[in-house]
Amino acid sequence: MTKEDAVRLARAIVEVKERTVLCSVCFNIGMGERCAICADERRDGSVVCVVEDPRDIVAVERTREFRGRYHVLGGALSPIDGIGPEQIRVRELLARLEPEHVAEVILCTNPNLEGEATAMYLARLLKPLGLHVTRIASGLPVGGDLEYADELTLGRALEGRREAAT
Amino acid sequence: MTLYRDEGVVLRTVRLGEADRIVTLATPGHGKVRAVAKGVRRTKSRIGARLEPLSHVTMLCWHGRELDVVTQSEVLGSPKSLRGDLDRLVPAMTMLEIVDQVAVERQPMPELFAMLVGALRTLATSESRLVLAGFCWKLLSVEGVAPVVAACARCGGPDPLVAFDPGEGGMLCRACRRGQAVAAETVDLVRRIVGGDLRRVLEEGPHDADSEVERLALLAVERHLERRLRTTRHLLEAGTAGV
Ligand SMILES: [Zn+2]
Ligand SMILES: [Zn+2]
Repeated sequence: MTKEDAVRLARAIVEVKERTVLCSVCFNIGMGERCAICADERRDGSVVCVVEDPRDIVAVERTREFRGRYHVLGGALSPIDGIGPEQIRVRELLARLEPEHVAEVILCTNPNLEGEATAMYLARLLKPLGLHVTRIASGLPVGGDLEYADELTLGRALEGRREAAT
Repeated sequence: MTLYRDEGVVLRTVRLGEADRIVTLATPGHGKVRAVAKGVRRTKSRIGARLEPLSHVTMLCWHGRELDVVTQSEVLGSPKSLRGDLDRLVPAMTMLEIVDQVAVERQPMPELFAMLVGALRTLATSESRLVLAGFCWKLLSVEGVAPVVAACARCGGPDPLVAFDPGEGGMLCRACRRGQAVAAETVDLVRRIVGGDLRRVLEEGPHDADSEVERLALLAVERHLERRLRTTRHLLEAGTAGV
């Protein structure tokens, strides 16, 4: 790489970084007010897949099994570390349900203890509102992170989703 | 560096770099242990499932200066029923939070460890709501701050005891009452728990005073730790009170 190339690359990175913002609807990483998925009219807005991290959206999109929209919590419940419901975007999720006519919420948090706790907490909160609340199937190795799951396993887990436990 | 072997219950884990985690464990022989587990975040890693909070494991570790390193670990128990039910998981996580607060690095704690393992096992099968409360009251005894329940904590006077004040260290009579008012059944249950009758209390099925006994136990532990318990404050009211 020549020095000019390096400078050009550095500028490009800075530019991407400056233009990258969190989607105001789902908190995915995007380039504008709304991310590409929220802006896409063909996506089914009645199904929302709740994930912990924008990288999990990439993992779920790779499966090509899901045509709904997303909600990024920005973490998982871990009270021992001071992360309660107010520290992740639970309120923001609740605020989306009515205006977007959400009918199903898929809880796609990591298959570890914090992810399970988050899923059960959300299920307890959402089910009384009359929503269909599902949890991705097991088959994902316990203790792993979603973003490292291969698309086949994750695709099956999404397909085989079941009623969420509370 | 030296190798050592111990049992442990995983209290918490945090991410370290791309795929590693720092795991905090309660152990009987080495107190609180903080150790690096490599590669555990990859879903194909087999060590990952073992080093999850609540898992009871045996492990082989290298002693390090700042952090130890887990080289091997095997699961002794990781009760599924705790993970799949919020009403069991919240008390379990609360126990982990309490032990994380009282355990000290490199300071053996065989009694506390045995209590934790026993309480988690009971929690997985018992229908009683008093498993967490029982753990809390017994923990205070192990910590040397057993609540005064036999007579009034202030004047030593006899029954009826009608109030509980963690600052006074126990139950209080009518003349001395302050803090929380308590039912006679609550006094009786706490007496039996502290006195070694916990097993029978748990087997009896629900008592009217169960929630009061639990609330007082958490208050007493919070007083001892000099901080609020985050797990119960954040999650115990889940679903009933909403966000
Ligand atoms: Zn979006
Ligand atoms: Zn008195």
